[in-house]
Parts: sequence; structure tokens; C-alpha cells
Amino acid sequence: MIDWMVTKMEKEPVMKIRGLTKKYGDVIGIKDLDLDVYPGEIMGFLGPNGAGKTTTIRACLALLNKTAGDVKIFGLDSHKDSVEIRRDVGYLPGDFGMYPDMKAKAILKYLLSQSDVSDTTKMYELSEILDLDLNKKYRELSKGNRQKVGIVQAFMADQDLVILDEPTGGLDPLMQHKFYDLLRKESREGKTIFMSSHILAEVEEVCDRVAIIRRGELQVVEEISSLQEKMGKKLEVEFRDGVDLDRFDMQGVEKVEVDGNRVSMIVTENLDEVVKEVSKYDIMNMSLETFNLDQLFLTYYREDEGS
Amino acid sequence: MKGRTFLFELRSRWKGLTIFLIIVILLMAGYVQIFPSVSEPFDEDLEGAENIEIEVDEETGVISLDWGHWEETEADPDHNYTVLVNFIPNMVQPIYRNESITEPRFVFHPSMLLEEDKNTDLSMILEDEEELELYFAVVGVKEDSREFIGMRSNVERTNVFEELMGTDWTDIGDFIAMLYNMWFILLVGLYLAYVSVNSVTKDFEERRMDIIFSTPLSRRQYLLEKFSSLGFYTFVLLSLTALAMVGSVYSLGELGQLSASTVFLSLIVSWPLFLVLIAMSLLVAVYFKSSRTAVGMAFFFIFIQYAVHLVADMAETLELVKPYTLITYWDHSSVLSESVVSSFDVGLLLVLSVLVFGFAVMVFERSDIPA
Repeated sequence: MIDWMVTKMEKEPVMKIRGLTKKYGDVIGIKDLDLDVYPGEIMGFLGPNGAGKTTTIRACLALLNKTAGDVKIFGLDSHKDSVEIRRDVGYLPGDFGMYPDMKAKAILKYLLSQSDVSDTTKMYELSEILDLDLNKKYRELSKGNRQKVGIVQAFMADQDLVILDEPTGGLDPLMQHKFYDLLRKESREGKTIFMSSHILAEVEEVCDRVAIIRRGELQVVEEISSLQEKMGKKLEVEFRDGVDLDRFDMQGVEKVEVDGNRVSMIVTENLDEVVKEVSKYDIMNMSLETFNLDQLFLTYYREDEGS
Repeated sequence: MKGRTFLFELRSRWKGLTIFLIIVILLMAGYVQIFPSVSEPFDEDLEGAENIEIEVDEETGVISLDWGHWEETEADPDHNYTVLVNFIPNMVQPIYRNESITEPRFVFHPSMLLEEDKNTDLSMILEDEEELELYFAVVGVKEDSREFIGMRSNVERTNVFEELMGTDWTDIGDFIAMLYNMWFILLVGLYLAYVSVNSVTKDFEERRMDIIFSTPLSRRQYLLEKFSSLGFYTFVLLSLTALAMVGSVYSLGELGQLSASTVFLSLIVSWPLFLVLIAMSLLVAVYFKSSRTAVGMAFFFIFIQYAVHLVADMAETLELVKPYTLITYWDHSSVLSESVVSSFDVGLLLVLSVLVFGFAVMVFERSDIPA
């Protein structure tokens, strides 16, 4: 675990979820979910559609009643103290609408006033960064520009925790990168960001840690870097002649597969020993590939399909 | 911030609310203006009716007309007369005509119609009708000139409103009470229910709730400010409409019967009733979360209240049901006839509106906000 993350995680979590469960009648939305979000981190919340990401977020913000469990945000109860909590939490819903006949500027000012904030400096700054025309009526804006209005409203009151549900939906790739820069800037300034996504690349690009949810249950919570390490590396070697596979039966080597003279394996430790063993043979071709989050996610997703 | 939703509601809805306010004012003030025409007896509308005396023998059906007193003042005795008879007060095609009357009187029997019957259905009409409604026109003829004397009918009628409503409409207070009962309660009640329901359900349907409740606004505060803004608007609507009605009654010179404050109060005391309707509408809105269903339920509630009250008003046997209708507690009749406001009625409605509103808050706070 890298040092700065250790420092962050020694602090009291900004958001502490314990045993959170939400049922819709007999249908389970999320089940027994435990998760901590620490100050200053960008946490990704990853899962396929319908996995329970939005339900988790909305249950934390008291938009949904919880069936069981406990959520503390800034040490306050998410449901009993929801009004107090919302003074310090910015939120971008995954699917939202606004007042169609009002100008974006008027909508944002109205929402700012609901938060008792009169300073509009940040509102204008964010609009400029995201290239958003505030003088257009909401109904006249494209899907991408409506999403920008949502992003501006989530950050404009300068709150300590910002919760984003699928924030880049509708943004073009250029704007997505501007948005990632914005996230990094906000994080540097001390904001805590909890962001759900099903876009693996964006979580890998901007998040410090990731939590993966599947069928309403949390599968893994890890730092992006250590998760990649744990997943190991994929070694593929094409030998001139056949090899004795027993030589690779060592600790940290998994899933050894043979296809003619081509051998592939997953190496999680003892890479040095494995390479030395490989070098004893004539090698035609060789590649060493680090697993990315994409493959990790697909691993979980395939298990999901298999089950 | 407290009060922002209140102001926002008024600001975002002012156009629609103002148009409705103008419509209500025009209808109410305009309606009062037709009072003189419905309060005058219908017979006076027949031209020259005062020149002819009419007598109907109920047993024989013989109708005697006499216009002798007209002759004494208006003309010399050299006249002879023509009498025309028809079923309607229009003599272009009379069903009976007699041109050789020399005396200023005429005795008519329905059987005389058959003597010069050109209408094959006439005998059937005469048999079917228990009391035949006939109109008589008398014209004086001297040499080449003709002079219209007048028209009368054998049926004593006051006016159509009296026949429909069983009231003689000599009292403008009764007339205003009917206005309130017949359509004011429905018009304003349905409109307020529609606006109240939509003020909440549109936030659900247009997916604004998540954004609204990402701000430090509690669900109770949200509903309270919606309720307050609608209540405030209703008070303004009633006040301005009441003022317009006072002006309208005054312009008729009828304020002698009623004081300005009585007319004003009679309408203002409906405010607690509308507060209950608004609270009820907010309750169905947060429960159903869909405009179509919630508006349907709110309208159903109002129609049921209205229908039960109306029927109970007409049938004495249903008098027991009246206390269970909200409309009963808007006692405008006591205000208009005795200038008395029942503090019990007003208090009951106010307490009920608070209870229903409290229930709406409870339902909203306990329910999930759909994504």
C-alpha cells in the first residue's frame, strides 16, 4: 500500500457503510454491504448494469429507505441526519431532470440558494472548464450539456464529499478527459469523491481504490495498483521445441496452458524464477502482460454469467 | 434555505395562476351581473302584458281576455280587434285567428282551435296536454291602421330559473349562494387539486427529486413550502375574486340587501375548505407519485364530495350524510343571510387540513423516492 494512501486510511472514514441491505419486496437490491471511503480519496464503485451501484448510493443519501444496516457520513446517521449531511455532500444522480423552461444559470443559482451558498464563483469556473453555456434553457441543451449542468451542480457548492453516479454518461471523449482532470484537481484540493461507473477505463484512470459489486454484493475492495499486482501477469512463451511443464510447477504460477509449443501461465510471484526456467529452452517468442482492470472486471462478470 | 421553494413555486407558476385568477374573477363578477334579468318575473317580458287582463277557468278551460281598460285610455271606441293564438310567443304563423271582434274582450276555449284546424296533430296535442300553454296577441284595427295592444299567456310563470331551482331569486344572497354551490366549488376545487398534485408529481416524473434532495431540504420542508405557496395563492385568488364580486354587486345597486363585508366574507370562509383539498391533493401526489393517477384520485374525491353534498341538499332523507361532506362546513348561507361566520366550521376545516397535511408528510418521509 503506498504511503499517501496509508495516511488517508488512518483517518476516520468519511463514509462508513456496515451491513447495508435494501430489499424491494422479495427482491434484493443490495445485500450486507460493508465499505469505507476515506478522506481525500477517489473511490470507484464498479459493477455491471443492475449490480446495485445506484441503489447503494441512493440508500446512503436517504433517497431510499434501507432494509438493514448502518451508514455514517461524516460520523452522522445517513437517514436521521440526512439534511445536515447534505450540507457537506455534492451529488450527481445517474438519471436526472431539471426545470425545462429555466435557464441553466437560474437553475444552478436556485439550487445553490437551497444550500445557503451565495458565492457563484465556482459555478462559473466549472462552467468555463466544461465549456457550458449557462444562458440556454435546460430544454435547449443536448444530452451532454445537460450532464455538464449536473456535474456543475454537484461540485459548485464546494462540499467535502462528492458522490457521482455514472458521471460521464453523455460526455464526449474530450470532455471525459476534462472531467477526469477536474476530479484529480478536486481530489488534490482535499475533496473525497465516490464515483460509480461501469466504464472500467475511467475507474482505472482516475480512482485510487475500487470496489466491485455484483448482484448486490460487494466482491472486492482494493487499491487499483495492488489489485493489478494481485491479479499477476500473463506470461506467454513460444518455444522452439516441447518443454517439460513440471518445471513450472512452483509457487505463484497458475493456469498453465499448452497449445503445441506455445505455453501460457499466470504469474503472481516468483517471476524471476519462472523467467530463469524459461530461459533454459530455445525461445521463439515471448510476451509478459500486466492484467488491467478490464480483464479483472470481466473475470468477475464471467463468473456472474457462469453462475 | 427556508422559503426558497415557496418563492420558486409562485415564481414558476405565476402565469398559469394569473390566467386562472382572471377567468374566475370575470366569471364570478359577470355572473352577478345577470341577477336583474333572472330576478324579474317572466310575464313582464311579454310586451303589453299590462294592457290585457286574463282569467282562466280551471274546470272548463275557458280563457277570458279583457282589454277594456286599455281602450278607455288609449283609443276611441271605433276599433275592432284581431286576436291571434299560438303555442309560442311568436305570431308569424298563429294556430288560431279571429278578426271580427268588436268588443274589447274575448272568450276562448281550446276546442275553438279544432274548428279551423289546419294542423293534423293539433287534436292529439289537445288530448295529451293537461294544461295547454297558449299565448294571445291582441291587435286593434281602425280603417287601414293597426295598433298592437299586447300579449298574455294563460300559464302563470315567473322565470326558468325559478322553475329549475324552486327559488324566486328576489334575494341576491340566495343567488350568490347558488353560484357558490353550483360551480365555484367545482371550478376552483378541481383546478387547485390539479395544480397541487402536479406541483409534486412533476418533480417525480421529470426526475428532479434526486437533485432537489441533494440540497439540505427536508421532505417535510419541501411539502410545507408547496402547501404554503398554494394556500397563499388560494387566499389571494379568493380575496381578489371577493373584491370583484363586491364591486359587481355594488354596480347593480344591490348592496342595500348585503353589506360589502358580508359578500367578501362569504367567499373568504371557503379558504379552509380549499386548504383541506390542497392537503388531500399533496397526499395523493406523494402516495401515487404519478400525475395521472393522483389527479384522477383527487378529482374523484372532489366529485364524490360534491355529488353527495348536492344530493343530500335536495333529499331530506339524506340529511344525515351532510356532516360527512367537507363542503357542508363552508357555510356561506349563514354568512350571506345572517352575517355570521361559524368559528366551529372554520376551525374544523383548519384542523383537518393540518391533519391531512401531517399525514402527507408522514407518507412522503417513509416512502422511497423512485429513481
